[in-house]
Amino acid sequence: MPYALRFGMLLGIVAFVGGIVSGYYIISAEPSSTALIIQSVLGIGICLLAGFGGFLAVRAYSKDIPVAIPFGQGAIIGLIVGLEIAVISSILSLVWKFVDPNFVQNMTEASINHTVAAMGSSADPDSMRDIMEQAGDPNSFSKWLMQFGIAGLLYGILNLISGIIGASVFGKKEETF
Amino acid sequence: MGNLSQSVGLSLRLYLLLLLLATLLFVWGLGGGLFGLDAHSTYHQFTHLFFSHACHQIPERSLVLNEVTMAFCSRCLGVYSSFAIGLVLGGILQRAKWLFKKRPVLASIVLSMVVIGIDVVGNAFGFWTNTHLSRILTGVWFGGSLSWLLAGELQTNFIRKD
Repeated sequence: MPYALRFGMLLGIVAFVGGIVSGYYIISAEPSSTALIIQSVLGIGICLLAGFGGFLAVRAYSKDIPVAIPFGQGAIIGLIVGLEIAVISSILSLVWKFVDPNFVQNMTEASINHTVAAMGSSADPDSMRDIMEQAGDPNSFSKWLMQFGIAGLLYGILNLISGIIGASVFGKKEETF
Repeated sequence: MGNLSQSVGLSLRLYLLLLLLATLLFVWGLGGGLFGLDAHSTYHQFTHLFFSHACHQIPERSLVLNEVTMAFCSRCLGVYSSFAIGLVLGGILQRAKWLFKKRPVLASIVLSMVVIGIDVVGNAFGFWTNTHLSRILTGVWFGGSLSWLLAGELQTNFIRKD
């Protein structure tokens, strides 16, 4: 499945780079609701792109083959794309832990500060920090493994669905015998 | 002997898988509050971690269920809920063929994405302030359109032309 692998690799890199850019932006920005909004727009854009990988892969595949693409095949292409996005982005994030070991903690603290700035007195930063601490050491391997598993599940599901949508839009529908 | 039209539509098995996944996504997104759990529970933290890859999870843009913030924002609530409900309705109504015209559904998907984009950008630049209701409605439009497209494909799977 060269299409699935190609799109999965590309979007995995995009998802990782987007996450890093978004993270450093929120770390460096002054605490405010505007910064949160900008980060959310960036995050949504990255996620939409990563979620539509299956759709894009099926579209590329449909251009090269003359026959109809079964929905099941679209689903499998999407699933492979999703899993590859999770693998690539997770491996790159693991490498980044050695480049900047404090990245996740700094980003978490910055997110809390921005949320407090946005919500004012109704925010409870201590409670937020408690929840983050309860989640464990962000640099631990077990935490990374859990993140990888969850990313695989989410991107796998989203791209499976978008692969089916791609087969619906681009797959030829009927062959009359 | 007539023509047997062999469609490559959505099989019942795949449709049921889609329905299961859509329901799971929706239930997980509601977070631990759905089951009366608090924000410190393992289940709630799992749902938050899960949707952290797909949603900004800004608390002021997310609804609260049983005093616990949902794992996704109000727009995502609209998307995932309408996607699941749309699949159910589409399966029930599949005999009403006039409901499943592809071009209007595709146009609806594209238009809903444009409206969401305008809503997000307009709010980000301060032209207006969107609300939970506006986010939910735009999300419902997008998710519902997607599910309608797929439900329409289920309908075409069993066409037989004699």
